[in-house]
Amino acid sequence: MNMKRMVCAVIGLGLLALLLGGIVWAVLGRGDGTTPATAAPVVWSVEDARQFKDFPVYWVGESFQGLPLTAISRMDYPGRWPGEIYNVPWHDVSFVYGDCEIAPGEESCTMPLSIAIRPYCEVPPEIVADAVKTGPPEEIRGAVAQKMGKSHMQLWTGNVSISIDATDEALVDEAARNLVRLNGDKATDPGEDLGPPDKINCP
Amino acid sequence: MKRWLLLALIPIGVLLLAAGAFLLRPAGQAEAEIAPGDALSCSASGESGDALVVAPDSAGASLTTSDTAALSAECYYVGLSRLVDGCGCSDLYIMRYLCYTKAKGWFYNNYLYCVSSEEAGELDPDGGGTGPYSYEGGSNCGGGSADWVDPITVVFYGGDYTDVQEHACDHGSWCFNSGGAQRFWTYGCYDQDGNANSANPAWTQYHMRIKTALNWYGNYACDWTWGRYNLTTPHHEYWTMWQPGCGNAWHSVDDNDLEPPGGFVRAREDMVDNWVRNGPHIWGGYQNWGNTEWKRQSAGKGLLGGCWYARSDGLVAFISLEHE
Repeated sequence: MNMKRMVCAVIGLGLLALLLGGIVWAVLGRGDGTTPATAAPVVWSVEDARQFKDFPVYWVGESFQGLPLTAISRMDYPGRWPGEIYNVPWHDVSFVYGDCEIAPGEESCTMPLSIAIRPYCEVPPEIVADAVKTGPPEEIRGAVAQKMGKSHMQLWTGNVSISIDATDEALVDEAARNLVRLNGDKATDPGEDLGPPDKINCP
Repeated sequence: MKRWLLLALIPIGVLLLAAGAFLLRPAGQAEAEIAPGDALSCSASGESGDALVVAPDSAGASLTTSDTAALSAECYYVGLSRLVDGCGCSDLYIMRYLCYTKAKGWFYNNYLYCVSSEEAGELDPDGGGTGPYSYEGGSNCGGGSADWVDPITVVFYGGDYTDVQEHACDHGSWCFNSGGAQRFWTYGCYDQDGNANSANPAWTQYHMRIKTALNWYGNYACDWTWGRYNLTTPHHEYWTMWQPGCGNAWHSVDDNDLEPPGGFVRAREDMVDNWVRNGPHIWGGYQNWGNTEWKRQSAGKGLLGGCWYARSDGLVAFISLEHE
């Protein structure tokens, strides 16, 4: 093999290695050394959410008003300083609908609709700031509802608190009227009441 | 003989002057009691922003009331004092009157004004006065929530954005001031005032955009509880290759699933940790603003895993710019 062929072979093998590495990287995710070693895709399926036992979860189906279910997220965060006043536990299951396009020069975009369910005591009615409340609490399908601005509603039913965020005000109300229980046998139809919140004394 | 008399009269004169000064001392100690930046002094002015209040120890009377003691008193205007920023973020004026009645003798009435011809600009995050997110650069903030970028998760109060930048460097080493321009809605759509970030070059880092809140007239806003306040959008972000189909930015906020609690809450808690829990700043507590929109990021979890998604938990931390 002459020198010229050897150089071509080395360059060719290098390009092939880069190509294979790129494919592995693209399929398996980031490997830039900045993400934690434990990082692994956490992708919940509808079945995972259906089998979830910790608290009731509600959704609006696999698509809603033309928006397909895009992602199901599970947050299981205990808080950083148990027992401290700054401890903020965060446990939820959330359903994200639709998609968005990141504008040129921006780094993110707002998803059209999301519904997140958390244990009641992580977002009890009394911790919602008065300044963000849009009108007094109202009753929707037996649940207590509080609107905040034009794009956010908080619902309290049973032992959970449900956040509904949407880029369209009407979508917030529509979603609230169409919530159904995914991991239980009650309120599986939008015609059924969700019911009032339980009488819970939060610590 | 004359020199002896003079020497005797000097201390007597000094004593008389001191006694006179004591008798004519202000009845109200407003200057000493109302410190610059004191939120109480701001709230004392009432909601009009230009209200008349009476110092608590000034006989509780106003010349404009039907208080008989004040009306029957003979009062003399004796001076006006101005305390810059004495109302938290507007100036405090104290008008002094020396009054006399047979029943009470001589006494002072002090009248306190927080002078501001504009509306105060209270913190109002329901969307009317204060947007709970930053807006895209160049937008008119009019596109609703579709233009929202990052959630506001920390409000710094008691100073302006330069104070935020200074303390961000002192507590947590967010010592650089680079970042793209976004806008804030604070009684109008305004460009951000500045950035604070923790890395140079600005790769993987903590970063926030800062806006010192304004009122409808474009002057510094004054909240009756917090005084002058700053809206900020702290987040932790990775410098990482984007994923086709997700976006094309090099920065992406930590995905909530991959790294609970996600880059928005991580940065907020970093600030609470460094400024308050392990630092000297006064803690104002959390408020729930409900700003929990999901933000799709440019990075991804691999073509099989989808994009990164990040959001806040809706809590906003209030941190004073003053030390305890």
